[in-house]
Amino acid sequence: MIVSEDLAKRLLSQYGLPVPAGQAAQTPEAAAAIAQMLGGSPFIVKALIPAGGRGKAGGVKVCASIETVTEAAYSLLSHDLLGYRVASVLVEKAMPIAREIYAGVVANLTTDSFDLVVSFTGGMEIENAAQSNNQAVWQLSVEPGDILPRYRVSQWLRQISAEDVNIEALARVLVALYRAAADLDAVLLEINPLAVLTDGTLSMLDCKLEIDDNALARQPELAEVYRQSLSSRELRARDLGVSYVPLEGDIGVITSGAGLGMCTLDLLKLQGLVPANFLDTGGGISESLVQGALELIMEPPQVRGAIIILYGGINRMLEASKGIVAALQLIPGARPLVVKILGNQQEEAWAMLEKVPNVHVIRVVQTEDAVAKLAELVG
Amino acid sequence: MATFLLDKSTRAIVQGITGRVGQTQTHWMLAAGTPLVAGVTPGRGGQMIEGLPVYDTVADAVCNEGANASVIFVPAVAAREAVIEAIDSRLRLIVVITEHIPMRDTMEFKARARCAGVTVIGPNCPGLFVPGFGKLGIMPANIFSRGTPKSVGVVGRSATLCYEVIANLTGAGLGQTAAVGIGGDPVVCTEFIEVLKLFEADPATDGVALVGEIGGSAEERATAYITTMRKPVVALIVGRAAPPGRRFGHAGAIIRAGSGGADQKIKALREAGVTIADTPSQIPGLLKQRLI
Repeated sequence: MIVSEDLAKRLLSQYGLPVPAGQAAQTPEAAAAIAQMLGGSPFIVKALIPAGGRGKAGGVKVCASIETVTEAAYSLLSHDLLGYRVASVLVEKAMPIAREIYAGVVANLTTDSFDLVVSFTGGMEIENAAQSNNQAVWQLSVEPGDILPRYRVSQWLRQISAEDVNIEALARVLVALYRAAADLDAVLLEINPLAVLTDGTLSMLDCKLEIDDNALARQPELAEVYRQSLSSRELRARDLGVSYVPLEGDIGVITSGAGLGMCTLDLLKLQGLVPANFLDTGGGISESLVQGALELIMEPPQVRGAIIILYGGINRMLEASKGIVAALQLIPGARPLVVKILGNQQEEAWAMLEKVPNVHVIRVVQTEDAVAKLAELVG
Repeated sequence: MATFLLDKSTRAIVQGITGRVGQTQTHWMLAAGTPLVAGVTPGRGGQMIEGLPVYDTVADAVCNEGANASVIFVPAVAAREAVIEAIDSRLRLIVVITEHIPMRDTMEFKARARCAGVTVIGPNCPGLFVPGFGKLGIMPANIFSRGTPKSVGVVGRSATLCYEVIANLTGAGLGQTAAVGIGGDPVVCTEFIEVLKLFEADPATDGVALVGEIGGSAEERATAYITTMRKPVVALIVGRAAPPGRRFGHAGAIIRAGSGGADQKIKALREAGVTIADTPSQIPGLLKQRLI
């Protein structure tokens, strides 16, 4: 999950990390009240959306007065930016910047470790710098499970010639940043920019935090935030225990397994069909799971047909077919459904489903045949 | 299959044998002829499950049963502990079926296994199946075949897609020497390249079917080795129709900022001499062409 900037900054401040004073607002009036409370000027008003490139797209505004904060919030809220509806803005005190540093804790999938990454080249896009083999990007690899002692970071900073930066202050911040990333199960924690202010102190002006979805079980506060960020369909999928991704097309898809699901999307594309979703049942196929999944994917009115590919293994496939029958009794409209079921009790499952109107059973192993059948039926 | 993963000398335990999935899968592993000797669940020592003694610790199973391998069904919250216990008990092969293990936990036990010289397969994988010797994991036995003139090895990320590929191979008369599911997480402990090396070295294996998917760069990392292989490799890469930035069922199946896309994997594999299949059912025919 991607954590919103205001929550990420609040979490980082709990590690003693320097973040600007500020708060999120849902209305222009609330934004003005926050500016009033912060006092002084100027202020920064930022659209809270989970996308990069926000500044260039006009989502960050510097405001000289409380009136301009109100105007900025008014112009951002309830508008679309980079494909997201802006539901809240972050109002902060603007900081006097002397120079900008990039600091990050990034999963390195070549060494299987979390690296500390620093660049002293301000204003540069870090990905481009890294790809051009630019010496301006420095990476410190840390053995998994290891603690990162400050002396190591200090030594490293000295080697990478950060002579005009207060090395001890920066090392303290980087060690706390690394600790925060580990505690929060971050797969990505980027501070860009980490500003050196005119008085020499450091301030984290922007922050991108992505949490490992697999770790939400041990991050209860973040798990709750994640639940609240889901659409009602995504929430139903989560409660069913299936992996669901809404897509833009008109063909419903259910598969048992992620690879089989991606393969089915590819095969649909080869037939000129566009999927309305991806849904992976996972291993525990039951009647109620299949029923809930089928109701879910048939819900969007544009869905004009669906394909179900189940490789049951030891799961009882008669249960799956009961789930299909139960869902079809509740789903409106006569839309074609192609079902390929293999596994324990497959013959009983086929016999049950072949009696159901609009259901077409594929008895062979080839998913291609099921996709071709669906293409023929939906035209 | 050569004597490296699962063979006559294997004496395997099931960690998490008292759980619902662990117990059921133990039944099917035994039915497939797997040399299982015990189960381990902390606090449940002394019970019998599926005719196997249950111990509290892996060390007890090593002392009493001579265990040298493990298959792990322990829930994600306790999986890190279970894998580390198995590594510290000096088992030589550990297969981690558990899904939803946090990436940091996997990185930690992967590093520990590397130091200890232990082979860990997974996590979030279907395990391995060696026709004639059984299975450590959840792959269904009825799709496999052996004894045909030509035999191939299968390595893939995804469980059920591998099953479809294996069933296609069997249907086309190509037997299998072994199938290894390496797992769908961004960090897995055994990569494509390591399994390819096993197949290249195995005298009974004539060729390899590789089943990859979007996300990460494990397929690309294997290409330098593939160019040195004598045996043909046919690959299927799924997720070609998947839009970037979204995760498709596997934690690792996501295209990010220009990396992990299917097209670049396919290009890299082609350049390494791999034949690319567009669908699972093309794999047997393409392999046969290259096995002549």
